[in-house]
Amino acid sequence: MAEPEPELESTASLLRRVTERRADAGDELVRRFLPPLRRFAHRRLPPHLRGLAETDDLVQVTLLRALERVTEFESRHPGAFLAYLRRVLDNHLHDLRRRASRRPEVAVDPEDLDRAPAAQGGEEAAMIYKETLSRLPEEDRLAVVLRLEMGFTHEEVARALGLPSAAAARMRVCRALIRMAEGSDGR
Amino acid sequence: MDGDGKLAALAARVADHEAVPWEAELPGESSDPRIARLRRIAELCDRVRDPFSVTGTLPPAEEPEAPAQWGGMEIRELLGAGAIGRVYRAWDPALQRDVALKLGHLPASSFEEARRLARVRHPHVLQVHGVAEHDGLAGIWTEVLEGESLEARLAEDGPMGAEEAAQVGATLCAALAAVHRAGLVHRDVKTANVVRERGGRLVLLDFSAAVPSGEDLMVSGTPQFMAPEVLAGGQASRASDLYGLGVVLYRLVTGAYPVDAGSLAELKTAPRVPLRDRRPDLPAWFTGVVECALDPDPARRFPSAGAMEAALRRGEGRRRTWIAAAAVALACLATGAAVFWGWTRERPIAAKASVLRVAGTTMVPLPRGAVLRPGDRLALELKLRRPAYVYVLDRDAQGAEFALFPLAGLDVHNPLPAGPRHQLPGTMEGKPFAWQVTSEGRSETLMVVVSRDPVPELEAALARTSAAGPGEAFRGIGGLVPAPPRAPTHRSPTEVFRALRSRAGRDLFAWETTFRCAS
Repeated sequence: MAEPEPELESTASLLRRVTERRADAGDELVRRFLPPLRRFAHRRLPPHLRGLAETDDLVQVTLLRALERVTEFESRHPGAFLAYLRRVLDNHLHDLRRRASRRPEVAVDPEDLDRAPAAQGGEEAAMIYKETLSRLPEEDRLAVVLRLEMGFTHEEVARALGLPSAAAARMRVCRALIRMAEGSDGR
Repeated sequence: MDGDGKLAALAARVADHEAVPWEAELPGESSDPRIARLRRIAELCDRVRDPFSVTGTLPPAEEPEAPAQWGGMEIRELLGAGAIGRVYRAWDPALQRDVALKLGHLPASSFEEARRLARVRHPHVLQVHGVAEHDGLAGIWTEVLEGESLEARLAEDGPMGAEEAAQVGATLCAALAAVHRAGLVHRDVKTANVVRERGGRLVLLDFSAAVPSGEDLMVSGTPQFMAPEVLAGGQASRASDLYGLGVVLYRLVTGAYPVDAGSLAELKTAPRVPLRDRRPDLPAWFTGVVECALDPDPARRFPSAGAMEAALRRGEGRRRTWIAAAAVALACLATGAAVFWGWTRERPIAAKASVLRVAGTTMVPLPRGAVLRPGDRLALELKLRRPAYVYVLDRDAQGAEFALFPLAGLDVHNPLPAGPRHQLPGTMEGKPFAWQVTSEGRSETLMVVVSRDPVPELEAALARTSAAGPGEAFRGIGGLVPAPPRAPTHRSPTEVFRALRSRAGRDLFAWETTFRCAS
């Protein structure tokens, strides 16, 4: 495995420093999360809406406002912080889609896994997924969510979680997936 | 490959977002149930991650089902969605009216915030009726608004004039003052968060608690309203709310944002485009208020929303202000024969001064007591025998004072060289300027001081005048040099002027003349 890079600060530590009103920590979090969140937001929109400059701004503002509110509620844990970010972003994106078209969308609204389509055993899959995911340690859970649901690159996952390398992040996702596949077996 | 090895290899492919030919990997029913589960996880995550590129037929998205009722209220229709949940139109039997009901999961601090907001009673703040939790769902209910946001209005009608924008600004200041008084910070002051109801009433919406009926409430999605200190990671404050309001005013009169930026990094570093560059036609008091609200240093913005409101109302109400106005042609000075002599004493330093009215391309001397009208453009012609420091100020019938010369930005600075025909206020970036009467009513007194030496006490008084009310900022803007020493007592410019007049002599002259103003 790659050797650890001591200068890589974990998201948890950055969030802690944001609460201490350290501007550089906020900057670093924005640098870290903006690109993957932008991609995430773009994918959440139908192709004809992806050109909207508004989307980019939306992600920025969501991120900044989340940082601004870090001190106010319990979002200092990376998991809670990301969940908050994602929820807010998803709500905004949902609104953007709704505004652009009043017709029902022919796609999964990914706002919440509870709303996964019933077809193709979706409900059951969603249940199993949520259930097994919840049994993982937080770091593993985050790795899966960031990589598989939000499409972060391995490197971005590593940076978000303070892991030493992209390979380490990939390994963590793989191990978590295996555990999830095995987990519901009752082992 | 054994089962474990196969599972690990597949997990790696899923982790790499590789397309896996599951049918080939899962021959028949006898296959490993772990792999079947991995497949479901992978397919589910694919759909979540990339909802619009999944091929095949997917069922339409299901809206989360709206509850039929909540807390005794009857839910009627979905109005929109915001950051923390969905907003419905609901019937409140207790109030016997429709309300906008926002349902979602509120963090505890927001709950408390909403409770405090519910205690804010102000005609221009969205009325929050209540906040409560039922069936594990938090709800905030507010009045329903019928109208459109200022952002929508801007898109339809284009930029406003200063007067209308000032009225909007003063109203929003009053609304913000009420929010601040309740111990709250708004955090999201922007054109999209202000609704003009059909009857004309302006309403400041809170963070995310409400949606005007008939229009989607949407984050405008722009960081351009955020104060520099918030962009830098600091906390929102009353001062950052005032910055947001400054951006609102800037946007209302230009349709643009103060900082042209395509990215957050640019937003943090790009210089602000002065309002004056975009709208040179706006009155200086208005520009001054906006620039003060947009000061990068929060400590230099207005001390409160009330102070900003006062500055806006002062400017708006006091139409009889003199301002350095749009460029006028000063080319034709043929009629410059001054008919008015201001000096009553021996005057070795200033030979002659006259007030001129710009009429088309000519300048017409104004006699003492002449009647001025809104829109009149004035200049001062001075003949100096020796180099001199010249100060021009104005006082209106209500006692409001303005520095008219020197002004930062003008090409002409003190001391003025000896010469036969100085025109004040002179030129700005090569373009001739005049003072414009933008108001009506009662009277204006023009005071002129000509001195061989700088007059620090007058400079200090003028600097205080401009600092005291940004409505007047343009006249005196802190650009007076040399930097005025702090006078031990804070006398008004008029008091200083009168004191100077009493000790006028060969090297210092003070002169005043009063004009009547017609409506």
